[in-house]
Amino acid sequence: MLIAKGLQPGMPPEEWNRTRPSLVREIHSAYLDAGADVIETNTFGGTPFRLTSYGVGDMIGEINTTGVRLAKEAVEEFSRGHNRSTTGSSDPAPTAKNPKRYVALSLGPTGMMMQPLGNFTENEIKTEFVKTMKSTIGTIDLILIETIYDLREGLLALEAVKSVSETPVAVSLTFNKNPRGYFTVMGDEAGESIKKLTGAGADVVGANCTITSTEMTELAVRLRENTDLPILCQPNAGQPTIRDGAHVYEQRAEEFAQHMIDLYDVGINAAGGCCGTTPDFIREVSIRLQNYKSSDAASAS
Amino acid sequence: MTEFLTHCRDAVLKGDRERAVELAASTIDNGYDVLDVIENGFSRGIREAGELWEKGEYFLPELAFSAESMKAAMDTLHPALLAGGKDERSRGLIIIGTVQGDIHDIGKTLVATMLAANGYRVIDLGADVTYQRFLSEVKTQKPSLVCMSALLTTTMTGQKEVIDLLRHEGLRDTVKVLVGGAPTTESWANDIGADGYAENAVEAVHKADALLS
Repeated sequence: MLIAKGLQPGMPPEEWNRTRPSLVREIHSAYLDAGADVIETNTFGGTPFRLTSYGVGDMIGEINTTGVRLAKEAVEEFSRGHNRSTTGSSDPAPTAKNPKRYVALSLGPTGMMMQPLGNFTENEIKTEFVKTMKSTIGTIDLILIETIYDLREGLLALEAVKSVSETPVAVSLTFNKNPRGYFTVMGDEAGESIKKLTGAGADVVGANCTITSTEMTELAVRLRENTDLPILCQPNAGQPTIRDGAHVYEQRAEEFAQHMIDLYDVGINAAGGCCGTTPDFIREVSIRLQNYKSSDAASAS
Repeated sequence: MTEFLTHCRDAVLKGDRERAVELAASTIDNGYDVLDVIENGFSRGIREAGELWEKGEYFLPELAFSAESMKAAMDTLHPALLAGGKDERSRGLIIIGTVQGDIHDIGKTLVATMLAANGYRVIDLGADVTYQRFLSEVKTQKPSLVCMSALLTTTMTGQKEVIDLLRHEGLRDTVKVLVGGAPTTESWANDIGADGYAENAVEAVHKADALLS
């Protein structure tokens, strides 16, 4: 979305929270209009290590708090608009017909390799996560630690944010398919990883990025077998490619949405999209899931 | 001797860097045939590590430690090879880097290490390498292969920029280009006019072998 709006290589997407706030808010609004119940802040790479490498490390507090504010403003505006059109009231408070929309703080991986493979210590990893979310404590509904490719980093992140905040925490790992199943690049098996995160006190667990919705339905079975916690799945919309100079993802929204219904059947509790899932994808998912759930309920009664 | 070669293989396969260096040093001390030890000892270890990766038995840490051990053994053996008038690193020069605007270098570094472990001379330009830097390195170093990594959809277009730049400067035919990184694919590599795409570090070695043979 940001690339389509002109984000250039070498520019951290999070910087736009400061420099192009209305555009970031518009994107949030587009997802809410498409039917999203939860939106994620534009703070995925808002860690000290990443922002410093782009030369904006000193802006970390502002970048992340603004990211939260923009998402919350979009939610409020959406809710007010919804109430106005249904009841004429301009109150933004949720009602029975206007359920609450939530804001999740997105926290991506640090990109720092831990000892013995890399140079960083466990404490340095924990500090990264705390510094990133510190300025947003108490202002968000959910902390979503995502795209984590090292279970150890996921566990450290969970421990770190839990030590400073009461907000529920979701940890979503990134798995690759290999001949023996689904593993992180560091070799953590999917089912075992989910079990460990559950044991470590995560409130929601999940998988996102890299794999497509087709593979995600296969992986979801393995995730469901290994936890009683709510599970969040956010696959990619196929693989990115370039057509006529613009980024496009190969998959169609209809196909993606159909896989989300498969995920629902497996017992996945929350569905979303990662790379390439524009508001059109979310709209398709929202409509189809609602229709499917109501027909499911009707046939059960 | 067979037992010694097996130790060399094991040191690399298990990623025991210290042991690999120790064995390389004793190869020289004992006056063993260096090329034989490389080919039938250490190299076997790195090949088997690659095979285990492909089977899904080895992951990034195991492969990285194996490649590091291999590299360390080769560094230790290098002077002896040169003295003997043989340079084991004659398989070709490769330059590698993550493109401009992209700070990710875990995957790129592993590819560089694996290529070096498999006998190539590798110059790792690091991450966030400008298009001009790739161009000037091709001009001055005259590598056989340029490898470019990109982890972001915002930066993968940089791979195309560099290829276009090489073409514009009339250098495209002097060097092969291999691309990789999470968002890239075989069809992306074809679209931008690269010579190949590698999904991971082991495949990068296979592709380099094929392109430079």
